[in-house]
Amino acid sequence: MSKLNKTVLLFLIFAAVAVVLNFVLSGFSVTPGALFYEKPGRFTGLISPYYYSVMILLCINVILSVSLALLNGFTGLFTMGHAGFMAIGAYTSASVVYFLLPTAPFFIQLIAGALAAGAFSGLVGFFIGTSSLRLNGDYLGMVTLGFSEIIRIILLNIDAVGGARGFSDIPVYMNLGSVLLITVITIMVIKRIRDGRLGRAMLAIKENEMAANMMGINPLNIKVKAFVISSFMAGMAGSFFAHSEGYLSTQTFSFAKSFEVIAMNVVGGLGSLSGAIMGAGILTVLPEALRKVQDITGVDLRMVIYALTMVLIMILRPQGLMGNKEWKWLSSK
Amino acid sequence: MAFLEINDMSLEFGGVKACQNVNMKLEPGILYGLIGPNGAGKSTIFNVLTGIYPPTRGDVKLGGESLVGHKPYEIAQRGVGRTFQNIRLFKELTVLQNVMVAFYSSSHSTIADMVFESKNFHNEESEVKTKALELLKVMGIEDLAEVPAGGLPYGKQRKLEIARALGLNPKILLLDEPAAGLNPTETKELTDLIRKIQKDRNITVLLIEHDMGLVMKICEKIFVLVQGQLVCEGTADIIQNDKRVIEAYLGVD
Amino acid sequence: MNEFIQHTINGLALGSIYALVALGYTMVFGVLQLINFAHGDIFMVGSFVGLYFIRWFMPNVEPSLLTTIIVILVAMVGSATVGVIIEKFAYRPLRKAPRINILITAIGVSLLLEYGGQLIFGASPQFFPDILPRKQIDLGGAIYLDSNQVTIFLVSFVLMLVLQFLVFKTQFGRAMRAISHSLETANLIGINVNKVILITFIIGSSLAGAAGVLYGVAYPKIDPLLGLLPGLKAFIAAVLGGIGNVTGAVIGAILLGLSETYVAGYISSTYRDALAFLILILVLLLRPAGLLGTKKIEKV
Repeated sequence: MSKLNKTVLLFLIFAAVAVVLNFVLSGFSVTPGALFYEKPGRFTGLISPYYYSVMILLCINVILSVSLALLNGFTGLFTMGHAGFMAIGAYTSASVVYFLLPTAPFFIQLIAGALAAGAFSGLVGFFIGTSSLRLNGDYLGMVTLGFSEIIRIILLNIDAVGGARGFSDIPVYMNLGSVLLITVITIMVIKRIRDGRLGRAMLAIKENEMAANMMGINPLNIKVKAFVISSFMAGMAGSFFAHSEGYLSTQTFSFAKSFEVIAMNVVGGLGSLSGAIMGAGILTVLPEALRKVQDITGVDLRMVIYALTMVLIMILRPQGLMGNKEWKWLSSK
Repeated sequence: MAFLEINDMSLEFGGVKACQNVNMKLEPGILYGLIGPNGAGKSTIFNVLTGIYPPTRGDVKLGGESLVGHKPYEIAQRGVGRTFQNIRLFKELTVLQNVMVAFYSSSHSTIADMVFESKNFHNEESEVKTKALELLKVMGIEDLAEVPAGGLPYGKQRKLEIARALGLNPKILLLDEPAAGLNPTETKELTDLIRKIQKDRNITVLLIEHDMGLVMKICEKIFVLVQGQLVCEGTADIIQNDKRVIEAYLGVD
Repeated sequence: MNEFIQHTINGLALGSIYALVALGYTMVFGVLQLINFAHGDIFMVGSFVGLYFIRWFMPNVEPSLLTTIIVILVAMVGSATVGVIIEKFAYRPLRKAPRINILITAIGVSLLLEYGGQLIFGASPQFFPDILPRKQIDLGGAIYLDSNQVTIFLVSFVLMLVLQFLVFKTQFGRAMRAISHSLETANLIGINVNKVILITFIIGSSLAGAAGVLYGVAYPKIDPLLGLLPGLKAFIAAVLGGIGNVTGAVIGAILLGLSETYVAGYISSTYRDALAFLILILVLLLRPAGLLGTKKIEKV
């Protein structure tokens, strides 16, 4: 059996798992909606509606985190504007579906929305990348922060997408199974890019740009590629976010969101794909888990503990939780 | 017409003359040495050859085509490989990966190939891997293939840099002090290796070295650079008896 | 024309507050190469220290310049204390760690101060008491100079003079500039690096504390998240002037304050915040070293 078929087979297995998951969580409903895209109408006690939405958020954060890892962890480009790409994706996808395809079947909405989101975000990523990749280190971080905030302020001033009121009544068609499937696909795509010649070139540039240049690698070309792939994925994550929440506000996409994604990378271990996933997990679940603490103490210590944990991990384990190790299924061999 | 030509090349940094009117002609398949006191501008010539600094005046030609104005990666793709005085390996990558990086521009698999792990991708990967392993074998470090490059002892790092440069399949190899920091045994071993590689692959080698014994022993022709100017060129015999060279090294009143 | 002069006065006042905050950003960046994202929150702490000091110790005080100066001094001490704690417990342990770790720590500390502030002071905005007599000086032609603007100019001018003296005329200043140049070399020639960094934090934080009170006086509604945007603006001002450059930070801040006020006055206040980020992008793309900075070249 050829390798391509193996990839297809793997996809089919994951898709089947996703459908089964949807089937179980929807209380064993067999309508196409329940199996593919609707959130469960009633919860059977396996999972509460609250945890269900936390799980979806977790998946979206994992996509964001691993897509940033490609830039930050593998190519060594420090950017602080991931929220901007997510915002572009979210608003593009919501607009496409809301204005152009309000009555289309779900899979057309899903595919058109996600692709439009990724493509537009990737395009913007291309322009931002080509204009700012002459800069290094902190300066690249600052300029991407600037771009991201400008994107947010522009969106805030477009009345058709709700402006300051926010964008509401966006069709909701993402459920846990489908988001999970896409998350796994994203992780695998990034893993395979990392393990191919492109990934090696990225790592080489991170390690020593001058030497990579002398080995026949055009650093700008590789960096732009990394930028476009990463912003494409962040845009898609935005699309999934829009269609699982049904409502968008520009405040979600402030620089605080970009920082959160960077923190996921660093807490997990910069340069480790497994770390990016683990960091996303911890920083998503921690504030939610801490709600219980609030019930006991009566004060909202949640975010204080969250911030403190972040600082402590940095001080006590500067290399991040995973260091530069990978889980076995994500290691390069 | 020579294979690699440096024609009347000068390089200035804000009035400071790093190189002045340098002329060098290199023929294919010969091992050249470039010597000179510290600060004479030897590494600067490498940096001009590889496109890091564009010359202020003059020209550099490889196979008749000018290299001036081309980016370092383009020059590398045209067959100029180099090593660095202060070793520049990809430390976190394995020894094997370091060499595989050099095959980037000669391989073709696309992002889709990588994502779907297509047949092309697998064939190319295993081909590149085989070639890279061969180069490691040539340098005698194939048993360290899976070790992170940063963890290698110094002498092996020098060897890995040469293996990596060979991955470009270069027409000309620039070695910047390959024996610096090596003990006499290692130096001897490396000297023989450089000689062997140069003969087996029939490539041009230009090497900068402070170890005169090494240079005199293996270089067929030697250039002497003093304060950015070429003062003498010729075989070891000619160089050793040249007045200006002796002055430059011993000082003169 | 009169309108323009009025905008200019307002812009200079805003710029002066930015300048006090920008100085802390730029000095810390100078010695640690760290964008201290918690600095905006230290500015917020200054506001609240001022507020609670007035509430607890002088609730019925007569508004006067003296009162304001006392409150400013107290806030400076308060902010400096917080700055010292942050440097000692959060940044110092990471001196040898990768820079991104310190940056994440700075973001963590920033969140800690914001959420901690919400916990202690409450999330809703509070009114900053009147500690300055409210007077408007009529300069004729519908141009007014507010008493708080006079105070802002006065206080920031004096503080900047003091800073100028500290940086350019003292042993500490020389040491600080040496560290900006190269931390390792400074270490080798026997400069007590930790001590200098600590003093840098003390100075930077106390300037931010003073700015916090001035901000409260000018815009008397404060909440624990108030440091976010002015903090970011001050940082942009520092980049505009050339990050790491003390004089540049002041110039950048004044320019930013002025241009923001003009944009808000003549174009639209919705684009006021966009302007700052636009400036950030343009400066970085066209002249990354800023107005007064110098470029560093990598040696091969």
